[in-house]
Amino acid sequence: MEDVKIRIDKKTGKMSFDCAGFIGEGCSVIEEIEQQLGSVTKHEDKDERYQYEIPVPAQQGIMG
Amino acid sequence: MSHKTEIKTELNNGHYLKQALTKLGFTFTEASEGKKLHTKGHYGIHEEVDIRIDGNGSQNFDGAVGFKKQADGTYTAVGDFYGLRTQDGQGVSANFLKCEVTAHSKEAEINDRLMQLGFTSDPAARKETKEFIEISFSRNPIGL
Repeated sequence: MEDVKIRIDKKTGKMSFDCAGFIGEGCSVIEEIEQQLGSVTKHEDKDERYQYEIPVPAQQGIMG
Repeated sequence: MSHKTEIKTELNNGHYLKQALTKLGFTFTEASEGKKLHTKGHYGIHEEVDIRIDGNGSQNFDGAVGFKKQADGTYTAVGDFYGLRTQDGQGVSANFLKCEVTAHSKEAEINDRLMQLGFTSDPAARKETKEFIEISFSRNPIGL
C-alpha cells in the first residue's frame, strides 16, 4: 500500500506531508505529492546540472 | 461603535471555502450573479461580500460577517465579529474564522485531489485538535 499522511497547521495554514519517506511542506504540497507519486513529472534544469564551472579537459593528439 | 475587522486569507477557491463553512456548521448565503450582498452589522457596518455567514446552527449571526473576493482572487473575511460564538461557545474572531476555514478548505481540496489519484482516506484515522488537522490516505500501488 502507498500511504500519505497530511498535516494542516491551523495557525499558519501550511500543509506538510509524509509520503513513503518523503517529507515536505509548503503551499505547493499537492504538486509535490503528485510528483512523488509519479503522476506529475517536473523538469527544472539548473546550471549546476551541466557543471558549467568544471573545466572540460582538452583532448590532445590524433584521435582514432 | 464600530467593530469592523477585515483579514486576508490565502483562499482562492470558493467551492472549497463553502465546503469548509458547511463542515464547520455555518449556514451562509451566496451573492447571486449580478446582485450585491452585504453584511448586516449591528453598528451600521454594511460590507459588500460574496458569501455572507448567517449563523452556525445554535447562534444566528444575523449576517454580520462574510467573505469578500479580492481583485487578486483571494478571499478576505470581513464584518463585525463582536459577540459571535461557535456552537461550543468559543468566540469567533476574524482570525479564528480565517484559520479554521483555511484548514478545512485545504482538507477538502487535498481530499479531492488524492481521491482523483485513487487514494482513500480512513475517517477513523483523522485527527483534529485546536492546532492541526491530520489525515491519512492510502491506495494500492499502481499496476498491482
